[in-house]
Amino acid sequence: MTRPVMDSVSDSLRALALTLILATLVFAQETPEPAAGDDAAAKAPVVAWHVKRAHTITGGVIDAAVILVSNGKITAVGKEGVLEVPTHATHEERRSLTVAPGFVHPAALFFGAGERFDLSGSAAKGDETVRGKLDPQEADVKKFARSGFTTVALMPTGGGVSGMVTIAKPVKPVAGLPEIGSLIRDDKAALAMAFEPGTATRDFFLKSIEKARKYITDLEAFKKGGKPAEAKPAEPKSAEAKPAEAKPADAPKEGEAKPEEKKPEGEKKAEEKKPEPPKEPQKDPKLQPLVDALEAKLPGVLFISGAAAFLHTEALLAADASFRPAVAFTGAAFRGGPDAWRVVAGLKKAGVTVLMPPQMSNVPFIATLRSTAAILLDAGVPVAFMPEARELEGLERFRGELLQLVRHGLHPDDALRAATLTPAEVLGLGQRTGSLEQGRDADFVLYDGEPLAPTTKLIAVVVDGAVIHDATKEDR
Amino acid sequence: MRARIFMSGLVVASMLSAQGEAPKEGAKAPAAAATRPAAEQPVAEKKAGPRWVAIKDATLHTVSHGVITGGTLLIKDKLIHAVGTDVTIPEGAEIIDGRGKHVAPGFVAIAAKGALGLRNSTNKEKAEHRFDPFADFMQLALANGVTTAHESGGMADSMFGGLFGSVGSAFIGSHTGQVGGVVGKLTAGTIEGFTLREPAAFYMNAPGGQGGSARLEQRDVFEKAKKHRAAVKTWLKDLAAGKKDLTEPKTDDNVSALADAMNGDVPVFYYADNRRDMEFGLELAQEFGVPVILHTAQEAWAMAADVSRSAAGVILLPRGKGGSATRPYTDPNVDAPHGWRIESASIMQKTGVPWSTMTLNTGITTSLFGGRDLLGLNLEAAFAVRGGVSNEEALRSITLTPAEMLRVADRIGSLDKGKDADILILDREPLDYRTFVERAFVNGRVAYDESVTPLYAHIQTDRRQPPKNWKPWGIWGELPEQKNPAPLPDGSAAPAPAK
Repeated sequence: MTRPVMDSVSDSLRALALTLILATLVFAQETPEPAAGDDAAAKAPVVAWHVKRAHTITGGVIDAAVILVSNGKITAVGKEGVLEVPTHATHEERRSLTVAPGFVHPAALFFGAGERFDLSGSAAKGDETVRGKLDPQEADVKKFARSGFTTVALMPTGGGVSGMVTIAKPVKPVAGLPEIGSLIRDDKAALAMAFEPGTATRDFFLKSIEKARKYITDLEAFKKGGKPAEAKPAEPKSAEAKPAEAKPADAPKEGEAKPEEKKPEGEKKAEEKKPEPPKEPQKDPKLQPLVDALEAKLPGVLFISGAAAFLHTEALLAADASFRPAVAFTGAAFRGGPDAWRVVAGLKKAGVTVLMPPQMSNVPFIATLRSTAAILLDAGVPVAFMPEARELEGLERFRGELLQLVRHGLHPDDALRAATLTPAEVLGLGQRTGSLEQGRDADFVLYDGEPLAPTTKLIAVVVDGAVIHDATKEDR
Repeated sequence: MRARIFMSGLVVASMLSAQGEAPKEGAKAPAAAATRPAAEQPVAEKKAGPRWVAIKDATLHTVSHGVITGGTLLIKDKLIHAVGTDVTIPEGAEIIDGRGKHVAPGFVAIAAKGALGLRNSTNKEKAEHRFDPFADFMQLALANGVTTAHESGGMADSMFGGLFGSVGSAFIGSHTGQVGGVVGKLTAGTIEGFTLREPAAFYMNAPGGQGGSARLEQRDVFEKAKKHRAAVKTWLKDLAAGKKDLTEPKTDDNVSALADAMNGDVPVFYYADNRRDMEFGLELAQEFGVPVILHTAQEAWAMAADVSRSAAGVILLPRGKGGSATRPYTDPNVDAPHGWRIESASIMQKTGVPWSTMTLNTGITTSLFGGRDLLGLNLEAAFAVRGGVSNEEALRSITLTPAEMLRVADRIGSLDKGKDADILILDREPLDYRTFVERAFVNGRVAYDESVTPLYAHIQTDRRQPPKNWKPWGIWGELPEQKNPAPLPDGSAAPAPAK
């Protein structure tokens, strides 16, 4: 009964979409201006940014480019003269400037989110957010707007499951104390964790992962069988390991037997409709983010100190094939900088993305300067940079630090990607920001030269299509 | 949504037809790279046959059965497979030319701090879960031949281990004793195959100057342990007899460890360096039947007969703890023979007391104790030779004897078939002060290679040449000559650089 209905609904949706496209195309050919006169899309203002060069990250570098922005989103990127610009578009003539996506900071401690990355301990704070701690000042907002960063992940700190990551974007500075809500876009974008090797912390993570996995299998069994009461006790504590172990063996049997019994669709549907039985595995709000992370619904970031800690982390990664958070190397500078290059094979094998400060590694006693980022990227390990600056002022150094890495063998394109799209992907925002592409948020920065050249100055910052900083106008 | 269809209609439509539903705005879609499960990645792990390494035509210091000249040592994976002059080398083995080289078992540092890359030591945390296999001190210790270290706990930090490493008998513990410590390998670069024994031993400081009450307290611990041991024995007997309503005797970890020591299961390290302390420790050892190992037993030579009767062994500083050759350490309040003698080790050897060598500073230093820290373990043993023992006996005091004291001699300490391949390739005799470690194997894996880690590359001898393109200033190359020095603040020209 339901499926035909569903099909027809999606069919009609598709049909609607097709007609819309056709309509758009037809109207575009005739009169682009009033495309689908009744449609809000037509009236939506379009801004065409004309620039000297665009670093799109995903679509290469385009010389003499046009970027169309509407409703805060990029609607098209193309070459001047090739890309059709709607006649009702307003024009931003920046033909002497180069544009690149705004930088994405995957692990920031601004606005009072934290003092430093604290890895010690094993607290379970999965449901905590950093919003309550944030205390941005007027000057901070101004610095943020000029930093060249258009997305920043504010991290909770503390060993164990540290809490949820907050996503902030800069806004146009106004006089007075800023409203926190104006900066924050998402309170629960990702899960932050921190691991300092030790028996207690190791046991904490192994147990948490096991619990989360048990919840997932219990829930699956519950959804499949509908009779979870026999299989597992409601209390998670008394459940122990036995039911969890027994389940994988039993599950296929149930799966084979029960669909046959319940083939009549009406019955299946009836059961779905039924109010959920009370014996569903209990949700633990502190554990739920980890459950979501294991199910790839929520991105995770695991902070560790360095290569040695990663060797100890491998035991956690081995515990569950779905436990694959991005691994952030906080690598203290006096210990030789980020030394992830030492465990490049293990990182590759684990298939994780690496977050690291944009620094070289200079290990004492070996006295060899290594470009950790270049080594990891060569081996196929994705890298995202997390500028070490604890304060907003330090962000000005970021481009210089990237430049230093480029000088030591990192390809400029790789450097730019590791500062934009890869960190966005780590935060689960790869489809939203980090590149200049159709459908992405219009978050970009205009420079008076190549983004990674020493003499280049930052001219303007655009966030969600709005110019929040423009040096040319403010100087006047 | 509809507003966006204007220009991105094509994309939206393709998404609709592909998924059959509208994409949720802001849906979390992490990149494939960010959440790629490991299972999807085919990791090509070649399951080849065993890995063979043969060191050919070398002088083998086996420790357990003499020195073999022109011998071959064969390593199979993690273990020593064969040692001798008539070893058949299997095909495909990596062959190391050992001509002119000396091969010895890795040194065992029986008193160490920092070499294992441990930080924030607590006895609740297992060393293998937290040690740093990339610690700089681990590399340094390996470069000086140490492949196994015994750390008794207390303050140990891989950065500052040298500064805070215990000096002599200053074990950070108490006279009532404590179980803990770890015997670990310097695995450098991997965390596999680290632990040899954890907890390693029972440690106890002599009451020393703390007076009579401390002595009574220490005695009390032994009494408790004895009682506990007897209770456990009865309990086990009753259990075997099938009696009901039994409760297992319980006590704290330290007492129970000492009770185990009475059964001979746990080594006891008794920190005592002078006559008075040692006498008391030996008294307890005798009375309670605990074979203690006297730590930093400086004056053991003066009471060799007592030591031989009651102790399981001594740990010595062949160069002494205080004073100097010209101004020896003496205590005017003691009228019996006391102080330090270079012959200490030799006297122990003659009396038949197992002895092993420790260093004055148990950490790794670059100042203060330079030359008397872990980096000079073989040098310290060489001073025992000066006191009258043979080269072989001295080498045994930093290899097999400490391994026996730590109860890990079934794994390490000599070049014997079946033991772990913890091996040093040296350019000279093991106890020569000019000796450099060329390669150190730990568990059959190269943990230190002189040519890769040029810690000592700047030291040139007739046997060692610096690596190609090596610059004394490392990455900075030669210091450039200043062509046009800036004028001095008073405006006068800077003096020409000295040639």
